[in-house]
Amino acid sequence: MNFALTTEQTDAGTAIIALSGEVDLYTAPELKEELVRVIDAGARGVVVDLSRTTFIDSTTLGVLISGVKRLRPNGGSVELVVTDENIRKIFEITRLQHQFDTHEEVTDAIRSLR
Amino acid sequence: MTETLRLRIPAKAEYLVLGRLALTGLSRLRPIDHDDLSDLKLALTEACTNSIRHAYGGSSGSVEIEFVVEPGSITIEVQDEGGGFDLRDDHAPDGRLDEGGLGLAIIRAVTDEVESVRRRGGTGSCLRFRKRLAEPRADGES
Repeated sequence: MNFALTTEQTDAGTAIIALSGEVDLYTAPELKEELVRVIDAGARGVVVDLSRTTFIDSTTLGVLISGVKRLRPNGGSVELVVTDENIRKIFEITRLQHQFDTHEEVTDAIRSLR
Repeated sequence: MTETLRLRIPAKAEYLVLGRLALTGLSRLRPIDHDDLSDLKLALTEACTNSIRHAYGGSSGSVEIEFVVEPGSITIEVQDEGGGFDLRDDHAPDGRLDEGGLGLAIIRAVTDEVESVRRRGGTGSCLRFRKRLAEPRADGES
């Protein structure tokens, strides 16, 4: 599946970035650029929806971590939507599962931001 | 029976996907369990990413990938002509918010053996990893 990224701004402080396809060294910079853009535009809560993502790697983790580092000092957070067991496993391998709240549904992720 | 496949890609991020596609192709010839295939794609991507990021310092080069498929296992070698992985820098993930340095730990976690070996025929680096393969599930998912 080809990589695609879409962003929905639910309110001034909340953005949902949905990724589909494979995220790696080639495509992760698009995610990073979008994360920076929505945070600079005022988002304090960002949901990254990985429910249609088929592959992530350590480069992707690095980008998500950079988002957390930008948001957390201001009380913001990155919430993840993860449905694929192999994607969930990467967070466990790297012991990063405690740094991110993961959800099965976007609605749950949004609710936890409020 | 042992089968060997070699692939040489330019050391550029846009070619990373070719390694994963090669694994998908191999899984058609020799059915591979879905989770094993996912682990192999992740390990291969991490190894190639390291070569692309660190081997050539922005100049052009290539990454050679060798897949050796044996009954019950796959061994993959990733070679470049640069610095590559330094296994002495290996450390277990500690769950802190560090943006780099996770690649080798991930490879170790999803494969059974990892070693850095001398590159055939000259300078550069070669990372070799082997994964034992489970019998594919009866539902044929791979």
